[in-house]
Amino acid sequence: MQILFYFILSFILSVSTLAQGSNKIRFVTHWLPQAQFAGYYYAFEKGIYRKYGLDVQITHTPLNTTAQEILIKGDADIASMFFTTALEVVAKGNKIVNFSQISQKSGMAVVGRKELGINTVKDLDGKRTGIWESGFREIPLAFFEKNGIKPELVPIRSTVNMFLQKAIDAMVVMYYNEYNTITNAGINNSEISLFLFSDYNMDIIEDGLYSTTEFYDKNKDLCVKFAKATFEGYSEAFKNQEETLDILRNYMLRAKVPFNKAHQRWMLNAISNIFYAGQNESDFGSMPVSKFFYGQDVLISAGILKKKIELKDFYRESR
Amino acid sequence: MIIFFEQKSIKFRLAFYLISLTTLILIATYFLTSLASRYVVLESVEENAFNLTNNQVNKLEQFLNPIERVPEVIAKLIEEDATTPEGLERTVSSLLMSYPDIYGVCIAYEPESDSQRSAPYFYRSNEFIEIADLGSDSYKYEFWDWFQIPRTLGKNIWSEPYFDDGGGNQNMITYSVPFYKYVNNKKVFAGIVTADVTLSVLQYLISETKFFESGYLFSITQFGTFVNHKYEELLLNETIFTLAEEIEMNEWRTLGREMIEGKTGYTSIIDPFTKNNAYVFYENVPSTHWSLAIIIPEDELLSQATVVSNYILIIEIAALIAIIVIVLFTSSNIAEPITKLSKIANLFSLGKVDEAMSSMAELENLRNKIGRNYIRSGENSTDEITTLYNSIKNMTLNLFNMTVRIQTSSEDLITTSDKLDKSINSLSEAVSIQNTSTSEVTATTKEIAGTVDKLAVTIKKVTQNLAESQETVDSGKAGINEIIHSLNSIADNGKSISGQLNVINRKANNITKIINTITNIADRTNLISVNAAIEAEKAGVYASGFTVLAKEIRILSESTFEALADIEGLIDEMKSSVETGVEGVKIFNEMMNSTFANVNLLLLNLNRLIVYNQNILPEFDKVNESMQQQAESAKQISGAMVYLQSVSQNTGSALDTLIEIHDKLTSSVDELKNEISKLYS
Repeated sequence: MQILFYFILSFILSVSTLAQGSNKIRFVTHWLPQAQFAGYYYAFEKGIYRKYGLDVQITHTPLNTTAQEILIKGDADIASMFFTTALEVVAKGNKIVNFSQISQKSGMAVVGRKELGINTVKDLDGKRTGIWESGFREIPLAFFEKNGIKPELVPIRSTVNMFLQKAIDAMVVMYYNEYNTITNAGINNSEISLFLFSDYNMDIIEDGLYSTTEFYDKNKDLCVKFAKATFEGYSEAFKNQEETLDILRNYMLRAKVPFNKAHQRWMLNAISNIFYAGQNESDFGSMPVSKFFYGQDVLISAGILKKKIELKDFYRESR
Repeated sequence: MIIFFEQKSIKFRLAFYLISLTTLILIATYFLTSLASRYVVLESVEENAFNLTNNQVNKLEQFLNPIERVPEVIAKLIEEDATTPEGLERTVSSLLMSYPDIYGVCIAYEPESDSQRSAPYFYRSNEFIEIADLGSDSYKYEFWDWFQIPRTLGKNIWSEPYFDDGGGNQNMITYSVPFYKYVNNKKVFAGIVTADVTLSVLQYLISETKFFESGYLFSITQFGTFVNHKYEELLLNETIFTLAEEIEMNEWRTLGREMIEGKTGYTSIIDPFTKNNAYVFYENVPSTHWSLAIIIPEDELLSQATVVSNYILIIEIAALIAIIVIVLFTSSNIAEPITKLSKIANLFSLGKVDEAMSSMAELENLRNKIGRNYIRSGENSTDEITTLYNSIKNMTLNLFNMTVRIQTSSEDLITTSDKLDKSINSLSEAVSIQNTSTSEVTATTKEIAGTVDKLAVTIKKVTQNLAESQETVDSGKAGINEIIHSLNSIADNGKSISGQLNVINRKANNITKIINTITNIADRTNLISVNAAIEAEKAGVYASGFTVLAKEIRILSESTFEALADIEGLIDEMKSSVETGVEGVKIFNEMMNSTFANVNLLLLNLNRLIVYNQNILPEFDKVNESMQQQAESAKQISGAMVYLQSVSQNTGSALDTLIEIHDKLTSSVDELKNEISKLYS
């Protein structure tokens, strides 16, 4: 019965989208394949997008560019993006909109070697601290600013090898990713200090779904469906961990990214906490208004953002 | 357990203790020698294994060291400004041609600004060397590990393996050499020269060797990433630490730490893929800071030790069997006579003297047959079995003699018992009779006592009566005299009565005569009256008064007649009464006389009685007294009888006990008979 229903539904949807023109969506993730994007892969592989009448194509941002660049260039219809990155993009006058806020909590942190005397945030002052060279810089900078410390910033590309090689004393990490990568390289948790931004009054939302305003206005229906299907994908992926990890393996190996099951499992669990962050499944994708303004305040006070952006210019309710 | 052993024979215990002790010693020896041989083997194998790892490490070093020289030379050339850019290009190209293992060489100069990057990359394309520029704005090589890390650390360094999706599209490792320039005599970082090597070459280089039967090699980078492993899916994907997490074996994380810290050593560990115990020998690769390890299953590694142990085991089992045989044989020699002697003793204990004696005789024969090894001869031998044998032999003789004596005694006892039986029977009978008699006597005595009591009372009364009658007799005596006197006067009076009665009789007769006369007169009167009546009738009415008178006269005469008849009757009666009275007086007199005589006689007797009575009274008192004493005695007798009865009953119960004893004696005698009969069955 259900199958029949979906069949009819997808038929109607495909007819209607055909009438409108196309149901194709080119989606780009803002990083290499990993458990952070498990929901998209799961929705694709398990036919959830198809169920919603969507013909989705998933790509990932290569290391030499950014998702926003791809989106603005028109090489993708929808991109996942970091909240503060998107704010900056909008502040620069680019017409993009957030139509679904996936991450509800900050996953960012700084780790430092205890053997170098890094035990509190203040100890980071003057320490050689790795910070991503491309993007995601705003929040760490605001974090250092807010805590009144001036680490010696070392721009790094993507790996934790600088930290592992002791070329730097500390580095900005994603709790769900690099922090565990460091542990997986043989450094014990007891040997490093972890400063989660969310513990230091810097709880800034992260991943969200973005499209150009033009695309959204023309294909609102597709965007809404994409958001819904994506959440269904995440919800199922969290429930079916082993299956999700198998799917991930394929994606990562295809992208020549080392697949580490233990690490991806860790990440899947960690992002589950970040994405839900205590909210109901029905609230998935909503923009937490206070965090929207708080994130802007942080960027303005750090001098990164010049003026406030109105919620209506940034976010489209698409649930 | 103790009870179990206590119940077992000496032979069993002796064998058990000896064999188990020996087995324990042999097991201990086995384990100790096994351990020792394992230790020895492990030591030799350890050396062997380290030779193997060392060979592999050397292979890597020999491969990597010349490669390292290439960027070093180029860096030197740049630093010393020894060549022109064209010359450098040619040199690099020719070096690359000479070193086919190098995939590409890059000379990346420190960017002077964000838009001034220079990084010519010389790489192999088919048979030629191509040059590409990596200095694009988007690549930003200055932030890549191969550039940034040696730049920051200021030293030559091998990178972690990475996938190169730009040039070679394969996994690479890069050797980076920083070069410097001197600005105002100050050493300033100027760039990095790299040499890229495809990882597969290295992987192939050290994967060809076989270690024991199923031992294998694996290598990890300085951060634990697997570079070599027989399970290819681990390569570049997993680190030894994520493996430890997945297999939930923390000892692998510990091993990983040892390895990435550049240590050399070995450890016993469980191979997560075979789940078998294994040994891991690991050694640092100095150039890349990798760690190379060989994992060998324990049983293969210690197979030599196992062979030694197996030989030891075979020898020990053989020794154990020999010991068991010897122990069993010796313990049989010791235990068999003991078993036989104990059987004999057991037969004695069961009372089977005949069987015991014959067994003893058999044993003696056996001893004589087998000789001194069996039971040593000699009365003064210190051999325990001989002593035991002699003792049992003596015991046999003594016991036999004793049984004979017992038999005699038993027979006596039987006779005595029979006698006792009879005595008891008669005694029992007597006691029963005595019991009955005693009961009867007691009853009789009680009756006597009662009767005597009653008699005493009677005698008391009689005595009283006698006393009273004495008084009566005394007063009677006077009375009697008066009676006699009265009787006499009565007799006299009787006589006068008789006389007067005679007078009355005579006078009555006279009256009768007068009556007769009157009767005549009356008759005549009557006749006159009748005549007067007839005459009066005739005279008629004038004579009516006369008629009435005549009638009256007639009635009167008739009444007179009647009165006369009555008087006559009375007188007749009186006459007869008087006559009767006279007669009675006569009889009375006669009776009086005889009575008198009788009274006199009575008096005489009475007198005599009184005299006797007077004599007898005190006797009665005595009798009375005796009676009381007798009653008392009777009571005592009765009491004595009761006591006697209880004594008799006691005797009865004593008799019962005696019977019981007798019964026991009888049963004992029976048993004794039985036993004696058994003894000689």
